[in-house]
Amino acid sequence: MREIWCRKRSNSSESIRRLDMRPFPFALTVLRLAPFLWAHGRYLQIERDYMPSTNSGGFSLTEVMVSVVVLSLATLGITSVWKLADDKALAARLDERATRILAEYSELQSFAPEYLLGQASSSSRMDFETRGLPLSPGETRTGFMYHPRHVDPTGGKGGTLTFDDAIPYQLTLVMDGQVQLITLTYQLPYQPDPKVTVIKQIRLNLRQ
Amino acid sequence: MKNSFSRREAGLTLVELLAAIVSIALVLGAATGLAMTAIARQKVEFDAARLETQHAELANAIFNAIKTSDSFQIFDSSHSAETSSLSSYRTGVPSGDYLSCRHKFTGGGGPGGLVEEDFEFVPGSADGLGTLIQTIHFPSTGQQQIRREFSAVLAAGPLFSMKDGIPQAHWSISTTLDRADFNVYAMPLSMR
Repeated sequence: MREIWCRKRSNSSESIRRLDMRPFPFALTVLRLAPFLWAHGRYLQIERDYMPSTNSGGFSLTEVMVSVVVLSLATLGITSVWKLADDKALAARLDERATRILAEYSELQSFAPEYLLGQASSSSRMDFETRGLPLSPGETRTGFMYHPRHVDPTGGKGGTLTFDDAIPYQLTLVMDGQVQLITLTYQLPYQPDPKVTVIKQIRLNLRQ
Repeated sequence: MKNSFSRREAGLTLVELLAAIVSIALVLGAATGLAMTAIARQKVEFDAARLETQHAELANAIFNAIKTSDSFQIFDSSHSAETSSLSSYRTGVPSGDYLSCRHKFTGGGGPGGLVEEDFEFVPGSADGLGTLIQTIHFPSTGQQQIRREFSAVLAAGPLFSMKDGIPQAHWSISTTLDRADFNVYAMPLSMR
């Protein structure tokens, strides 16, 4: 405690003094005991309310640093939530696209003209090469689920309608007893290794 | 004297006040920037998802229109389609940008009616993006037609075709994030 404020009252006057207490570390205790030790001491009153806080000058460096760290962590938390939201939105869109692809092949496998059956080879080919042809048993087709807008790494502005290919998928047909089992698999891109593989399947009756 | 003393201790200096105002402005500015960025990102995601959902509905509409049609025809353009009569289509083409599907129905022992569902791709001019227009006509009842437009369509060739004997439609859309492909295959129930 560096200083205190003392109020001294008498019948005719009242005064307030600021006392520098730094040279007298035990002076406050003596002043508190003054009313009991000295007859006039009862007129001496320590005005604690007026005692200025030594901490009132602002925040310490530690407090400022801690608050900066806390605010930084909060900002990082908010931006990580954005990324999580983006990833979940992408996962939902990929799931819908996978469902659409399976629906397309459901129609082809069930209702494509007979003469188209077996035209696709059993080797793995890109989806666009065999577009519109039903799958042959054991055949695997590949394609891409996601076509993000192309970003020129040099910063140049290319065509605005240029897209990349990302998130490959595989489509296979397996005859499982009396049903055709079509399986579509792809991996979610944002998951840490090992990446989560999404598998969607539909079972179709054999063609009559 | 006490009051004047209290006022002096309770108040803030001009420098403190200015520092507080600047600090608050900085914090509010940072928070506003963060919120604006979040809203902009959310809008990009939302617009992409909404456009893809709309076109998924359109793909379903095309699938159902072909699947349940009593007759359908592909034309080069709406001009070719308009020359068809109500009783039968004029000769179409193997692939084109106009698809018309007709559904006949009977009800209450009356003469029956006709519903025509048409889909037309209108190429864009500047940005290379076209529009797919769905129109539902009610020629037998004279009811007002229903028209919906679906934008941001990328088409490498004719949208509708009869390749390999299967009625099909292929198009892509350019969203704010990516390209989404749509492929519709539908064998009409009447053709099985």
